[in-house]
Amino acid sequence: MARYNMHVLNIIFTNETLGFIQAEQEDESNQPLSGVIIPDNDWAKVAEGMNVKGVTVRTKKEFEEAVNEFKKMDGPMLIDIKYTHEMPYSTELNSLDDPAFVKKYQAEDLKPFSYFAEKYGLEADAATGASQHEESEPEEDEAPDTVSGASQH
Amino acid sequence: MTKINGSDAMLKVIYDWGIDHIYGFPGGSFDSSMNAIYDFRDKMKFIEVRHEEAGALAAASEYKITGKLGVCFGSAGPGAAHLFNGLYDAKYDKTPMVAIVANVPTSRQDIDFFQAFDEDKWFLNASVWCRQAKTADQIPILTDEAIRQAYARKGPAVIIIPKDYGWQKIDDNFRVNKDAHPEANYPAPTKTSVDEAVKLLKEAKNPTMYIGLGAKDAGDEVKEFAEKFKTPIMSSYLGKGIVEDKFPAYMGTIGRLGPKAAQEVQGATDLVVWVGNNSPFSVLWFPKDAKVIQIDVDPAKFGKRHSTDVSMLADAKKALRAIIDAGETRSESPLYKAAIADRENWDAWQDSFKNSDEMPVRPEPIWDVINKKADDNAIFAIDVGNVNVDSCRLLNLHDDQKWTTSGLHATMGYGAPAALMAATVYPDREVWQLAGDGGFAMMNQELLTMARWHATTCMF
Repeated sequence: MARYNMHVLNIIFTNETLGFIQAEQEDESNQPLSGVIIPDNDWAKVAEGMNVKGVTVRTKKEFEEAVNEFKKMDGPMLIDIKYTHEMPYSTELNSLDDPAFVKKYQAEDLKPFSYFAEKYGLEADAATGASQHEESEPEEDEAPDTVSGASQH
Repeated sequence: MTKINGSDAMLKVIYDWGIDHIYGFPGGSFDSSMNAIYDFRDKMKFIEVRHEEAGALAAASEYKITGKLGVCFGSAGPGAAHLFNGLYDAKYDKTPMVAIVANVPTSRQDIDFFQAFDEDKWFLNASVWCRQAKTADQIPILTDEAIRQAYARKGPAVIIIPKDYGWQKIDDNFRVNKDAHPEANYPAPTKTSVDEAVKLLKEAKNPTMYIGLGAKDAGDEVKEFAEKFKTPIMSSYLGKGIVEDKFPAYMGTIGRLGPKAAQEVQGATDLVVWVGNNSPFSVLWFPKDAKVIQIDVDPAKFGKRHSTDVSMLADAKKALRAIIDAGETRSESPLYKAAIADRENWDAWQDSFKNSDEMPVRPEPIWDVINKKADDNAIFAIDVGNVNVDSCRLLNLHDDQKWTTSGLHATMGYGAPAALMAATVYPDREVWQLAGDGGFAMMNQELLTMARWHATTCMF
């Protein structure tokens, strides 16, 4: 008979939103959030109902302990991490000259590319090469930006 | 002549191609093939998923990690319709797989019978090859052909089996020629193209590399190239892992998923060594006047995403090796120095949050644990959504770790089926499914499959 071994650790990052779409709606098309919110669910209880060990964690320590538990057991397990609702740093906007942007992403320690370009003698036209792409520049007008990378999803 | 049921002949072909498991969900129209699956219970694992889409996605994910195609099935009507999402994932990620679709008995076809549809037409668009058996004798031949076509055309092949043919006795005389199937063997670059590439590399001020899945077997050459010519390396998202994340010249993925340095460095280069990369978003990147040395095995890809100056229709490993051997060592360019420092600044910034006690918990403390705890040969089955951003920036791939996601099709719900696949193919490795709550909500029923099949020794 065939032997199965489903030693799978299922990690669920619960941020209560479809984050990828939320970021597009906020950063790209500047529209009200629409259809992205997911109510918080008890995924550990769902797992237990499906005969899989389920744990909810809220801190690094709790997560580490849960992973250690998985390492000692056989079979599948689920860890539901109640995760930050903040969006990841936007490398597309990348507006380190905007204090609001820096504050939002706690990016005080990040240096703009121009800093490194200047430090290592990168020619100015090379350092700003990215801006040759008009389509990747944030639009000033109020029409939804439908041509930048993110909105093309 | 020994006789065999049509559906048993089908499984025999699959098994003789070295495939020892199959994902699916039964249905009335598939009874003759379920009987064959029972007959093969000592040879083939049957992974009974709770939704046919999970079986199709599991099969689609298999080649991406193993280089061997996976097989799934669905019954006529809804069981068949549920396969589509997995087939499109395979089609868009150029992934060989085979789907077996049941049809109602031939005498019930084309007369508005229960669960009877024009399946051969349904699956034409979702597949690279789609055929319905016209006689029971054809079943083993078509099954063999489906596997051949899936590998050759790098996509999903669909074979449709009318239920009555599956029960019909046919001669058991079909033999698979698996050993005749050759390994991929791509050409070496022409001398002219190598000379041109070397010249451009010498003249460039700030050369860079941009690698995709076409470079997946050339990780050592990519690193040697970067060290000799001092080229920062950037990749497509699917190119993550070709070079270990800690390699200093690897800036990561360009675009929304990746870290800051990759996004910035791409805009400042004047020469891109573009290896096996067809990322659709790359039309937005690199200065328009940057020169490009493009290495690919598909003639249709040259100049598609950016103007190309040197086209090398060649194997990535051979082409990079030829340029490394022919070119002169370069010193660090201003862009190279800026890139390394930019990445270090980003890494230090991310690391500064590793022990943050902010609530709800930030990504960095969690991924720090994943990086420290995951086995050196762990497999990560990654869903679709913001988990791609976090994994792209924070997962530190190394050693024999492997990962998979839904690339171009980018379907949510990929994580759980891919985890099932990984646990089936690599029963002795640690498997981590990484999914957001949105993606997991789409395929969470596959926890039932994991629980049921764990340590199961008797399937029926």
